[in-house]
Amino acid sequence: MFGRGRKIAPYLFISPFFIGYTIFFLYPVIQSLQLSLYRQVGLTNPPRFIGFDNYVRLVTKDALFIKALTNTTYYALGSILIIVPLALLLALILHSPKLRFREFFRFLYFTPNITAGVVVGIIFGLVFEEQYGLVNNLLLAPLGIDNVRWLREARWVMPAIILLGVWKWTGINAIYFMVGLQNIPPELKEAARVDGATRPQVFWHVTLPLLRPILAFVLTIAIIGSYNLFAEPAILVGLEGGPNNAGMTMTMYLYTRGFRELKMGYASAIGYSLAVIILVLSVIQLFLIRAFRED
Amino acid sequence: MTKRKSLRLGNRDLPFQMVLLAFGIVTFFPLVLVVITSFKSNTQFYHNFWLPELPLHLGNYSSAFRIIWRFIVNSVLYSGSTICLIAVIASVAGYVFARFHFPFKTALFLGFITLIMVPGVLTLAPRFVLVRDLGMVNTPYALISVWVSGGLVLSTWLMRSYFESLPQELFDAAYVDGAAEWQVFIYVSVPLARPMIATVAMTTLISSWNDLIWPLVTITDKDKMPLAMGLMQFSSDFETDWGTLFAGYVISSIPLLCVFAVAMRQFISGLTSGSIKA
Repeated sequence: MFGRGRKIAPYLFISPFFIGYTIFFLYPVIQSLQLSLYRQVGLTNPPRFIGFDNYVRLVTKDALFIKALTNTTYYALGSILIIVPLALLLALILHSPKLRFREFFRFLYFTPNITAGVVVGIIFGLVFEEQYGLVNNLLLAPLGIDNVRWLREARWVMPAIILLGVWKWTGINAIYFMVGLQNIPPELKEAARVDGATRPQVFWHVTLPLLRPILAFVLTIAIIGSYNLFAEPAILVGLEGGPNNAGMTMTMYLYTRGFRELKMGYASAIGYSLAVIILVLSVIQLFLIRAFRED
Repeated sequence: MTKRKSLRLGNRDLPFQMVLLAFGIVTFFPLVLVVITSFKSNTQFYHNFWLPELPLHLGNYSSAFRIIWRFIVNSVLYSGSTICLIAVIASVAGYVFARFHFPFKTALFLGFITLIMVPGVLTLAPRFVLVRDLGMVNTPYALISVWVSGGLVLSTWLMRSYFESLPQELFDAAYVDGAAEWQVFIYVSVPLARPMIATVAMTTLISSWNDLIWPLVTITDKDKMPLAMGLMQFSSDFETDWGTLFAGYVISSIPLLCVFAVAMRQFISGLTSGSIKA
């Protein structure tokens, strides 16, 4: 209709996005791919090309890498399985027209997410404190459960970090679901109700399928967030991950190798392995959600 | 008939409300604890871990504020610029990706989105070298440029999903009335997308405000530090003074809480405007 201008215009309008993204995001990403094929210690030493040695060493010889990978996957699975259904439930309740004090509840839930990581790390140090801590004293003691050594016993470190994650992330995910629920025309649900569908049926066959794009978004962000987890566990149990490195996440491992020991090449290889894992998981997840639509 | 039904539903919602309240208490308690501790002296803190105790030590707040205010001002400036840039660029790009058809559209978009999987720390070293070569170390530009480009992917994705979810009839009506594309964008799409723009602004605010690693690498002057980094500095300076430490945490949370209260209202107004139902 507008001839050539019409054809160029879209590219013109996405160009600020494209340029900013290329300089400060894409270029460093490519740069670190190159770096991962080199042995480089420090920021100024000359790098030495070693091919895929960094990657081979990661998979075959580095027990701590495998440990960090296992820990992070444990966190990802644990937190997502709790956070997503819980956030969806909260969003549904918050969305219901009969609810009183809606704004108050929303405000209540979103406060953890806007609390700085440093602050969260320090607070949860007190929450999980063995003798005086909140969980042991106020939640477990009344149930007659003995003090759990949350941050001192390897097997309890990750559950503690998962609980921290649930505390911090459930509210913001409920926002995303709520925005999705806002977009579903109420007529659709009413039509289903008129046709005799029960509430769970309406949820399962009308609401949930229409929430699919938001669900995909929330899951993807949750996977990325899990594998990028850093500030909170680092302050809660220290950069080494506490007892037996039980709280060491992939990002903490990358950070210690790269910015404590300044092994830039090796750290880049860790980063790339991490990126591939996240990518594969996200694709699987998107695929599963698409399969769900065919139902 | 419908009225009676909704009344019945209202009663059934009561247990749900209890669930909400229980979860709310669990969520809020650790934060209440911070407030309680912020009024204590060290002796009071060690004497009684959890409960409030008199007298209140208001002095904690004045000594914390003297240090914290500078970091807050810095963060407001840095995050504010980031949000404005992202809101404009992401709305436009998201709109174009959602409503235009052009060659390589899907390929371009998928290419961008795929890179969202790249963990931020991966690019830390090359990004630092880049920023150093551009002469931006220890300046706000180092933070803003990287935060904008990092946040753009997620924001554009959010904006695109939102614009895609708007019904085609809405746009057709505007086109029939003779509106040009930019008019449709400014007068129809952006007002409708306000809830999503609020969400984008909020996620950008939260992630830039709380970013710790990147300022640690690029900012060295104490009076240029954003809040997240300043809090770390503050925490090590006041490590043994719990009252002042937590008073600082309370002060540092106030700006975000205020912005948040306002953004919530924006959400609600988006909900009730009803223009989406068209």
